[in-house]
Amino acid sequence: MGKKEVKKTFCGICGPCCPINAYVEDGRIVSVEGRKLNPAQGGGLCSKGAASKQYVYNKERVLYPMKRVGEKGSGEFERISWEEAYEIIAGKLLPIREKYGAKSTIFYTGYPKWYRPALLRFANAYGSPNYCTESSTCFQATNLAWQSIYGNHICFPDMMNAKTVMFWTSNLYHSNTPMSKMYQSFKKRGVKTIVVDPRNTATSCEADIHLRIAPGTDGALALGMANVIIQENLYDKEFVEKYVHGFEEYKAYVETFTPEKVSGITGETPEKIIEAARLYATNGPAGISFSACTIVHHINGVQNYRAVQILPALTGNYDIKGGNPTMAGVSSPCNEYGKVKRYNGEEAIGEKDFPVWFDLSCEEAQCTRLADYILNEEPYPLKAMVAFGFNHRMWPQPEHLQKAVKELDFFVNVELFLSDSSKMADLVLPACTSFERDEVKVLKGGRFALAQKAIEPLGESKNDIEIIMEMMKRMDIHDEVLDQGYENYMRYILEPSGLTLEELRENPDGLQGKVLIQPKERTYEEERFHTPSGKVEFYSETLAKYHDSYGYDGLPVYRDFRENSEIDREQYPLILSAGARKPHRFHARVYRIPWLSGLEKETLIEMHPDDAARFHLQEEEEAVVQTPAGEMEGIVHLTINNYPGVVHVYHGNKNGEANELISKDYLDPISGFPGYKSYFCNVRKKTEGGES
Amino acid sequence: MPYRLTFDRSKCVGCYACHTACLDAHHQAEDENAKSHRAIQRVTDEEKQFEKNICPGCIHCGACMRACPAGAVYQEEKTGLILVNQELCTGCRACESVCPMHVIHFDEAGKMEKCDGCIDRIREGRQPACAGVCCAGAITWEETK
Repeated sequence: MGKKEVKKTFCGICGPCCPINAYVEDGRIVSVEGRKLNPAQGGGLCSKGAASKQYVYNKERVLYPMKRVGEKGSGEFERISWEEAYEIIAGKLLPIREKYGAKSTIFYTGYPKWYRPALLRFANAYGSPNYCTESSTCFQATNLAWQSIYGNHICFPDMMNAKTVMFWTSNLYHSNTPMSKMYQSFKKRGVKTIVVDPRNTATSCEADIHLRIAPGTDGALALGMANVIIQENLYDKEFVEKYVHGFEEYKAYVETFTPEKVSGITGETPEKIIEAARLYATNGPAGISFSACTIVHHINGVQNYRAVQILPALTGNYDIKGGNPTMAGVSSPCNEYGKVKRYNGEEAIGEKDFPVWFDLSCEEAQCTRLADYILNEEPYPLKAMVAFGFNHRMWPQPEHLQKAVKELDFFVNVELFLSDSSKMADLVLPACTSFERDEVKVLKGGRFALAQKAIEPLGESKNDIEIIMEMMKRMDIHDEVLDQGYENYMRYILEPSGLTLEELRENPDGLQGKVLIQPKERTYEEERFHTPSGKVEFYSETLAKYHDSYGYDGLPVYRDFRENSEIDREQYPLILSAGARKPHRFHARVYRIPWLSGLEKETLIEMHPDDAARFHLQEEEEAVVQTPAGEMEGIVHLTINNYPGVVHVYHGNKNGEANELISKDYLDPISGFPGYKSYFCNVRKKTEGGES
Repeated sequence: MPYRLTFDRSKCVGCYACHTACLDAHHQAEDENAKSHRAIQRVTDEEKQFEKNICPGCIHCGACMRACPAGAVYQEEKTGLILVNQELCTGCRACESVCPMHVIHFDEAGKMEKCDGCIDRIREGRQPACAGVCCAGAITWEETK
């Protein structure tokens, strides 16, 4: 028997990065268990985290620097040394920068996210404004909508102190499973819950009110609730008078959204819309829980979310305990996260198409139309890409993007796995997982912890930030923080908190920062809102500025995607929703984990039984989904959880890619986000002409 | 018996964590086709029009032990867990139909396979993998008086 140890580390598979105990024997992970660092965590894991061992020891892991020797896309690579890899990078990038300018190089990051500030520093030092992330199609539009109203970063609900919580399109039990005990505590604490979701889910079934609306109609529902709240004088008049910009125009607009009209749009009854509006407005403090991207995956996404996000200000729930506060509990300052600014001295990609993305800066360029930008040299030639975790399956029509990426003169992808996206790269460099490195974690409540390296990196894989530092060194480009090496980088992150790296090493469960910032409510009483008017903008001046040039509205105007006249609804009678949450999936990455991929057949075309009957389809039958953008084969799965008329397919699967069905031009004109969750489709039997 | 492993299907949210944790506890990463001791079962709540996939597992009730004519299934003294001695199993499958959770499998040689309650972990003072990983409180591991 070898040496057994328990290493206190963190998962890195999806966003929340839950704490994990890794049981290690002879330098190898034998098993993993959840760990409890704060009262909201139950100490368990989700299925993805529980499969960590198969994620780390996956046969698709890239273990050595690899140079492409075959055609692009062929997957033929040969092992080279790190030295040679760095030489190739410097030898390719520096001449490209010289000839086409630094802006011709795209710096891209997919998952995981932990090294992002360092990559942004790299892009800045190199001189490119084109630092982009997967958030060009994922979260940032949600924040953009919020910023256009309040001028700050999105404020999440204070669930521990709320009397009512409204969950707007998130299935908590499947999106952040380790928080389940906290969700269960609502009932015990007498907290009222409202869930807005087209599907019946474990979360919606527990709600006091479930508003089951047609996908993409969220804006109409929020305007309808506002209509009730204003009509019945349930809004916070004092706050509105003092702090809101554009209330009269807004009020006149919502007057037309009567519960009856909204019922016609959303499919929910007027009674339930009224009941939910009254509960949210009167049983305060009330918080709204926003999902990361569901609402903004519709072509009216930003305006729909603006309509929803206005509700806290309308009802006096903005920046109060139990509502949507600006400061959720005590915090401790740190460096890096959200503090590194993007170089914006030159036009970035996406800037002409989506100007508001840059006005309400999220410190990244908008690369949703990346394929077109590369192929059309728009707004200028793009010749190289330095990517970490580039995954073309995050975009609509991913194969189109693959073809565009092929045109680049140089593409290096730093990855955990030899993905299909990596096969287009000239170089693939092996990153290590969260289990194979030390990392400073910034936690809630002003706490910090050091994620311990549980095992030595597999093969010659390395920590992403050390790879960034080496690349920069070889190109002789500098950043004062990254020049100091990785240990000092961790110290730099911690510095403002008053903690040292040594103290964290000695306290594996983490410590609270020595410098603490106590939460304050109603911060707006002392500091104006960071919007053009200095107020909460129900009428957004940032958007209205582009009314004539781009057709944006200052008010949260509802436009129904179903009124799209270009699409023949007789040919495409069903609505397609790609990528709705599944508990054991996360984009493309975990399909390669057999313990997870074995949980259900691939690729499932999930339909309501009534729809299946209408199109003569049966459970487990092979079928084809067709949209104006393309076709995909899969297996029919019937579920009464679905909203009738809506077909769900999860994305990211190379054997049946739902995103291939979404047109690359079906975008929200404000954010550039694809309408992943409300496109148009039909479903037919695989063998044409077959009778059931 | 000193411990009790329970499963509450109403609390189960269908996240599959226990199904996967069971594999992690009993298998190497390379065992791609390994079978979890927890099953997947579709249940429907007609009133709420809601379906979910729950993962029932062995509750160590002893029904299989009582049904076994070969004496291959026994109760471990200290923990109260119901275990199988595969050498004694004749493969008659008398246990299969009496299992209230439908979680008994047979290996390639036809020998009965069942949940061992992660007995090695219990001996180290830990809890079964499924109970530890379950965030919804649907699986519990309790000491009984």
